[in-house]
Amino acid sequence: MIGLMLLVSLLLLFIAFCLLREEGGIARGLKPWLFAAPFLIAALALQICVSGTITGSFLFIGSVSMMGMIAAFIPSER
Amino acid sequence: MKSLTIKKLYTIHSWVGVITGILLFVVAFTGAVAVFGRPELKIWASPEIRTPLTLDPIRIEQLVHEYAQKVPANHFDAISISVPGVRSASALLIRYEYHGHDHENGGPDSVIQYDFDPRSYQLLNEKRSDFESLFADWQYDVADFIVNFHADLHLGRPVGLLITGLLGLTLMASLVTGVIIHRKILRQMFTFRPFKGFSLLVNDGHKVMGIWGVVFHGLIGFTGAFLGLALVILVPAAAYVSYQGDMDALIEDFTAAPEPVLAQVDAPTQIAGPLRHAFNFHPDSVATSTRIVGYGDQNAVIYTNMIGGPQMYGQTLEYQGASGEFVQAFGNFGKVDGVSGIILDIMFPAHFGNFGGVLVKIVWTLLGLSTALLPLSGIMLWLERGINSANPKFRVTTYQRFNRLVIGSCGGVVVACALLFPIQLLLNFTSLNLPNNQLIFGSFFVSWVLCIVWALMAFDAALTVKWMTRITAGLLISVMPLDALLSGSHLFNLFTTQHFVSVAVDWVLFAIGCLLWWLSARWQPRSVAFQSTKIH
Repeated sequence: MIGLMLLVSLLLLFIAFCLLREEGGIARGLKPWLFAAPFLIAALALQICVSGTITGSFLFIGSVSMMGMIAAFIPSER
Repeated sequence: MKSLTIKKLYTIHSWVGVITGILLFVVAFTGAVAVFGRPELKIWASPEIRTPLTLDPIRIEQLVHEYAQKVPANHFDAISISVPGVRSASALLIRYEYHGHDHENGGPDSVIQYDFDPRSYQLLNEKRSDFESLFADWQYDVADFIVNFHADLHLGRPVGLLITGLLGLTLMASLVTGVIIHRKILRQMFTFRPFKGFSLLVNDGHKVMGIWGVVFHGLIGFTGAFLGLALVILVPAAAYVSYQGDMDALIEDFTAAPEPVLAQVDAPTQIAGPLRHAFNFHPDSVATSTRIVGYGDQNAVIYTNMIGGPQMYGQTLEYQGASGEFVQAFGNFGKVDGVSGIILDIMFPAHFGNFGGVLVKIVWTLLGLSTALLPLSGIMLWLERGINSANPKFRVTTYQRFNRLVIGSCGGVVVACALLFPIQLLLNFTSLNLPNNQLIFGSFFVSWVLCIVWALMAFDAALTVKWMTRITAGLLISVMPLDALLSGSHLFNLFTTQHFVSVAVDWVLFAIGCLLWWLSARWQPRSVAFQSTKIH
């Protein structure tokens, strides 16, 4: 169960970070954050609901680190 | 912040990285492998537990009672049962302990351990010794070796634990200084330009791994420092301040499994019932060991250690020994009030990613590899900037020599770890009667030293990296066919043998080997640090 939830939340986080990516940096405008926020919140909520507050928080730390890194390793244009 | 302060912090960041970088890579890389040390690599390395086990609690209870008749009556201070295939045990171990009640006058501890086959319950081995000797002749396999190497570099207490603990602190120091000196942190969060030269590749890679992984690296540094320094500095210091140096009293006060007050009334201890309850406690939790205190007494207590389950940290299940009734479940530091107990309990799983199953372990391993690559990319960056600087601090050849030392030390530890896998298969499945520990330790350290010597002697550092990568790839690729040839365990008879874990390990190693081979073919660093120093 945790495994399936983790896969879904990793996907949500990846989408969120792709939306927040802007010219090699993180988006500064409001619009990308409004689009990305539901994905970030859904990923965190999913992890906490399925595995509890403590486990979910640690999972979220690991997931954000990994998916952020993967999104950042897509070669940038700049 | 003043530019002078930033410059000072940059100097600290650089030199901490250059001095501790190699060792940090070694510890972080072996840590990334150690995430899968137990139980996955342990199962792969132990042919007797490759097929999933179902232990019979009634049979275990019979064995405990039967062998209790054969040991001296004073060996019931505690009886420990280690479940195979979960932590370090590969056989069912039942241990009868005498704790030497005259410790102050040098009274000895004594232990009698019986090893049983976990399927037939036949006696395999018997050992009678003190605690220290019992673990001194431990036969290491690849899993034990890598996990223990990560913990204390096989230097033991206190030196090894001090080194790894201090490395956790230096990692944290590097992270803090790195975040402060990196002023364009938001503008470069997604900047990665791999096709615009080696220097930019390393620079962007270092920043991306540092920025995105900062919380994870901090978590690993903090928990690593705690796990390393707790036993050698924190506990003795706390005992000295508050317990007149009595560490046992401190540990007893903090841990939640107290010794029972014995009634001195005989009553048979129920073992099968508590074991059955523990084995079925939660679908995601696994019993690792059971400890019976006060065996044969009316007030006997049974504690079973569990890992996994609904909470992040391991739990201990308490049972009343005479009736076998479940009393309570608690964390190891359940006695400590507030959040402190929970924080102490989650240190170990948070460090090793040992919660939430295999996917969490994969995430922790990948992030652990980024923790290992962080100091390595930092050193490469320092070399690049040093060589290309208008006023280099050292000669180009000095930078190149240091680069070769880094390649030999870091590449060497990767080659040495990869070599352990085919060595383990030769130990397990050939009748050559090879000396276990000498071969495991010897092959690891000799190959590591040879790689360092090779890198230092070779003229072309880029070529050395290429060939070290190819050797690692070749060793990993060889594991799967070698395992199939020697043990007969492979994908095509998976459902007959049920070797799900070991076959998965074989294929993962094969895939990593192929990936490394592919990377070695693309490896062409355009950097002065990697230029050939051969004089034509």
